Amino acid sequence: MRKNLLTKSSLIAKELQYDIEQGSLLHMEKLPSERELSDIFKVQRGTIREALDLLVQERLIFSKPKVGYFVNEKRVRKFTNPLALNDPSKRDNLVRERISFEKIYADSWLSNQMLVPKSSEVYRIVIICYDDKVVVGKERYYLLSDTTGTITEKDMNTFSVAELATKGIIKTASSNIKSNQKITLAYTNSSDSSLFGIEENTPLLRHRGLEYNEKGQLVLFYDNFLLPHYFEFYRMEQTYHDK
Amino acid sequence: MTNKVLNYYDLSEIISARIERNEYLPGELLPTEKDFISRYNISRQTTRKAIELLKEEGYVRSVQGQGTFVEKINHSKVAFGVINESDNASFTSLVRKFGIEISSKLLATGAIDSNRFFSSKLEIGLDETIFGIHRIRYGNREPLAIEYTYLPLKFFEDINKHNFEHVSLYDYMATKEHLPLNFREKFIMTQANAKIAKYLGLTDDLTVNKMEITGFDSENNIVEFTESYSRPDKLEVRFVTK
Repeated sequence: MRKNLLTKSSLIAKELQYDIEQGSLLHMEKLPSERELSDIFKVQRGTIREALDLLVQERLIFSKPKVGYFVNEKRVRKFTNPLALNDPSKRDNLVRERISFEKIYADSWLSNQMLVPKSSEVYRIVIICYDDKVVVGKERYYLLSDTTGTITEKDMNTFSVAELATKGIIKTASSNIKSNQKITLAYTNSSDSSLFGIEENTPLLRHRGLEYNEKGQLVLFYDNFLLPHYFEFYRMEQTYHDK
Repeated sequence: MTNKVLNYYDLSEIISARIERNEYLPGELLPTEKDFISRYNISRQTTRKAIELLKEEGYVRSVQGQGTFVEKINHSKVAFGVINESDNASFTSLVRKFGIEISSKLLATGAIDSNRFFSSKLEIGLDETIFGIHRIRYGNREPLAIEYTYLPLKFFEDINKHNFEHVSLYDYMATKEHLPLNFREKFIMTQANAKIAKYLGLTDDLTVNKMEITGFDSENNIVEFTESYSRPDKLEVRFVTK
């Protein structure tokens, strides 16, 4: 049994994954050649190729024909803690461009998503996220005016969405803030495929969330469409402390 | 009822209900916009918005020049990863709440020598031994997820005597006083490798959910590291904080 649980190639793939995660192989850096790797791990080149294949399939590395294998770009880290977007240490470094801000009245779809009565007053903000000029996400935020109060165009230019959503939230109470998020797979429709510059029906990661204030009132609903391979999501227990 | 003008949401609900009841079958061509317009006496715009919404929800898929097709059914979608301080992350207990019959199949179990990867995940020495359990999880007899679980053998020395096809791993871990209580999770969407695609029955789109779960017992020892690959069309990943 001792050798059967994982094949030699999966074990080597794990070792290489460790090197990538620990940073001894840098993102966009070229991996040692197949020959060098087979010397390092003392296995045949076929086994190395299988290990590299596994990593390519998992999108940790990619191959450039006739050049070699390279470590993929680091994924953008997101946190799923409640209102993580309001915590500077948990914010990502994407460039955001607000393309619209308007006051709307919840239609049936929105009232169903937000669990609020139809025709509730909602501020809708649409933002496009860029990573190095590449569109990687479309974020739609819906703020319930009942809890956030009036938001003006001027507020929009001064505050972030998170700041607007948390107006009136006592910071120290943040551990009691409720949030409910889900991640599903979606496929691009025609307008999103032209926005992202990808073909129609390409998989997208859809991240939806409802966030509440310390009184348990809904403040924010978001519905984000993201390129699936650009992001990673983290969740840590409040009680867990890094050693 | 028939006098009420349908809005796009009503229409999308009608269509999704039909898909869930198998009146429209996966792969079947949906009636055309024109059909819906004349059948329900609604505008083209209403119809289009309804179809767009169904696409977002994964019920249908449009193919250029051919029309809109019914996708694989969504009604068996179950939530996964609903973890908070009071619950534990046992797949079975999570999914059971949603009324789906869960079964597992053991692919392999066994002890292996740790390596740098596992030692860093489990925070153990390189000279230690780990015990791995590889399982396929089924919901209503369909494969939903494949789970690769690794535990430090030092906490579970008689683990080899148990068959986790029938015994809950978490029940067993609790008897050893190393039940994971706190979790750290990392979630990504990635591509299934050939083996995982085969186990999960993925053919066309190989996008999978990958969840890495690190479980800590009451004394903050890492007692579990799991890599779970699941079908995004069957499992909805949730993060809930109460």
